[in-house]
Amino acid sequence: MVGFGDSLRTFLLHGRRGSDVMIARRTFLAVLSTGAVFTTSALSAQLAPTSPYAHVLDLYRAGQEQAARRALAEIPSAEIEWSQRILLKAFDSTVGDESPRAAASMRVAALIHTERAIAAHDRDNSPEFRYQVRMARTYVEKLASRDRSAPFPRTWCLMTMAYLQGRFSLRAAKEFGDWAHDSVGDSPELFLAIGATQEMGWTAQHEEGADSPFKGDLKDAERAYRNALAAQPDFVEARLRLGRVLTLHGDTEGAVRVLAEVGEGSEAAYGYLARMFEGDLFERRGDDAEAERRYLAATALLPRAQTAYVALAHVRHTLGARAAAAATVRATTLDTSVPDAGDPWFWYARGLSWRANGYLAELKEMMRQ
Amino acid sequence: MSWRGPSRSVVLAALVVTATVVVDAQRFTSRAVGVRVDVLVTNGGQLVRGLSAHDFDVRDEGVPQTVSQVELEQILLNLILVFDTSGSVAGDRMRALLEAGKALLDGLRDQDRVALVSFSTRVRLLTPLTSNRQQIRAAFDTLDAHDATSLRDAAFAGLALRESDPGRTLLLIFSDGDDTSSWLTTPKVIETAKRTDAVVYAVVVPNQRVFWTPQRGATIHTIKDAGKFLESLTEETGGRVLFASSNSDLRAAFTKTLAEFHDRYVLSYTPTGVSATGWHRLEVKLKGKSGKVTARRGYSAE
Repeated sequence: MVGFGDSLRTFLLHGRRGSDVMIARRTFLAVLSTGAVFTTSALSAQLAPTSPYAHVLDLYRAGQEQAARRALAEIPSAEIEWSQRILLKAFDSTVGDESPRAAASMRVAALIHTERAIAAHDRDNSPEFRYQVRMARTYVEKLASRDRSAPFPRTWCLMTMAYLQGRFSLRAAKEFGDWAHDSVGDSPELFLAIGATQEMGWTAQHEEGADSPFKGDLKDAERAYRNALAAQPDFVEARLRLGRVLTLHGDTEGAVRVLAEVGEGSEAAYGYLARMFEGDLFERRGDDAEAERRYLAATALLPRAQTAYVALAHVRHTLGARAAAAATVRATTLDTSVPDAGDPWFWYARGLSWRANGYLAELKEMMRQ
Repeated sequence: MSWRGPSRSVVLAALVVTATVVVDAQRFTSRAVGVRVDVLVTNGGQLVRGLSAHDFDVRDEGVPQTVSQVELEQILLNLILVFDTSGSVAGDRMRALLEAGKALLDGLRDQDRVALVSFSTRVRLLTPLTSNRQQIRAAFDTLDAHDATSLRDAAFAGLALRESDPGRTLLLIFSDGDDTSSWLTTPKVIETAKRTDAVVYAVVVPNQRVFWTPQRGATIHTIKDAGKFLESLTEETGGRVLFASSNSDLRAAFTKTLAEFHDRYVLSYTPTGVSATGWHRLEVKLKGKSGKVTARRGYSAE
């Protein structure tokens, strides 16, 4: 599993909620394009070599992703669906190596349709997004039907949910989570993704005042995190999120216990967030002085991360220490050399999106096998 | 290390000024603690000028107060610019923002001070309050658009940077997107705003959303929505939201904001008949005249 800190350094954070940043998509596409190193092999057993769809898959496998995307856009949907039916049928074949070859092609097809879906999502083209996702999901579902615990379908679900969370498309992420739960089976990471979707939806609605169509449910989030911990007791991120959720729905005693368990022996990023959440918890209890101490502890763990200073300045302002609050703000905002993405809070707030590139790299590796 | 300010029992938030530090000493002849209220009066969308203190009915917790009017020329202006530099601002919008920001400087008096805060995922103080225009212009040239939008954290930072001087503080926030990465919640920032006397204006570029239907394909709709946060923040502090319909309108929107701020009335009074601490609800109305009065909803006395 990719470490939190590693991913912080490697995954570009460019989530959006509205019409802004396209950089995440470009990053996603760049990673997607670099991994597809296949020798060209026609799908002669399933699709005619002259089939446009077979040509698209061959282009993609040959590393010509842009050409593949353009070629796919030219194929009428009826022909795409017809080609898909042939591949799905070949997957069930008992003749020779047709089935494993079909499976390999289906993995390629799932990724290129996913890529098309993401491009459509970035253009706010919902019908196209839904169509492409449905195409990809049909392949994944078929692959999972043979082996629910197969890594490709599971990782594909996690990657797609992580991407959607990064774009704050929470209703779609929730639907994916439900589908994954039924189709590819549970895993600690899937429970985490399901819980994070609920937590993000609730937070947007109740903490940020957003009028989101997906409201989120903290009880569902808590249940998902507890399931994740039951399956993997040392899952620190699940414990951290459980502590946060307990805070948000007012179980401060439970939250104190859970958050206290995060930090010792954990990566600094987890400890930092645990202290931040404790600070928030004490603020909610009206104990601003203790909150100040927790925020200070967070700044000690990651001195260049900004959020802890903002929280610290805010609580000082509330306490009436205006000059100290202003000094704290100046201390963290005057250093303009710190990169944007160095604060674990920025990653936490986007659910599992920080894992998206890691999942994608795993999928590419599976395609090569 | 002690972070506690020494004067918590004395200072009634930044809104409340002690008489002796105000420049206009003739108006404040005692050491009594005074309250200053920044007021905008419009009628049919037009600014109403030429009013005097006698035209206003100011009530503190429902208790009528005797007010005087402070001449604006005698008050230093602290302009804190809080600019969204998230990825969506890159390109033409950033160029328009720079031009608008620099044009804004031309409308200031020599002694007025400006600070520049930019925000994307992080909040950056590019220059603290200064009257050095060259420093500000140089800071403008360092603006660079990228990453996400920590709007609420940036607004808080701007409010917290308001210094305990007798000047008026205008916080001008520019943003074109929703918050995606702040730690602070809307209520927390609004509470901070209640404890300062800064007036917050926001200039917002409306969102364009694409809607797809099988019949019509893609249609683009412009949504004039500043979001609950900016609407609440400006309303709470007696400011307002201005929409720039396009990048080229940013300059006009900024200039209008400053002009409007110059045309506001600053009323002051020494509270009588009310508690010395806690939240004070303010009502400001016109006496015998028609017009819409915009002022902060109250102040926090500590």
